Amino acid sequence: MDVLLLTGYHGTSAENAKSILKSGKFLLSSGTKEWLGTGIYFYREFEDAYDWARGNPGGGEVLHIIAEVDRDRYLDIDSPGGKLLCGKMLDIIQRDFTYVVKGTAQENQCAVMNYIWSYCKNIDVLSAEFPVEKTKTPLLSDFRRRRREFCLRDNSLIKSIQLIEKGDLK
Amino acid sequence: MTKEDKILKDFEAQIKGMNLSERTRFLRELGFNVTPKKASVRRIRSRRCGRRIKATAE
Repeated sequence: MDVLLLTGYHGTSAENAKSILKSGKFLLSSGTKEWLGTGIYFYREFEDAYDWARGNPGGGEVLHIIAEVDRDRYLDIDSPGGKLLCGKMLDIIQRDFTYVVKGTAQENQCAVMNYIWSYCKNIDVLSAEFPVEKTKTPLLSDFRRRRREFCLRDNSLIKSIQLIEKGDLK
Repeated sequence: MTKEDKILKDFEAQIKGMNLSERTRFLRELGFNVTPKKASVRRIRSRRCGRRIKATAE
């Protein structure tokens, strides 16, 4: 097995951080607009998780995790094949099976990811980059700042969880 | 075959084996907001596909 060590940051409320540290487990985020489907979300960069945590009343906390995954079970949605995955799946539904698909881009992406989580037993991690802000002026190239997220479903892949104390920030 | 190709192939094979109502329920449970096209559209589509298959065979 070719092991991949993933470092991630999870921004949450102080209360949730306390509960995660106590149980050693994260709860799965679910909904119809989760970009990488139902799962546990981490940012690759501390600043992004910190921004997210700051949105919580009282400031929130950032947890640092290390996850151990098999490289073959890691799927990067930004890879050439990954980029085409959502579009091709919608093509199959619409063109080959003559359905009208009405969902938003976010809902459709969530549904594709949920298919992967439910039926592709050889995938443990989904990862992708998302733009931080909405499009303002359409340009041929997308110059918006992006942040990378990854999503796991299995808590047992997480080998360590640590609270980043305010004093750790320099 | 790449991981992504396998996902698509499995997905296609899975929904191909379902009838219309099973397929619609399956897609909706995943979170797709789908509506099957009218039966007339589906018939035309299947007739066209049939012609294409026949033409290829000939």
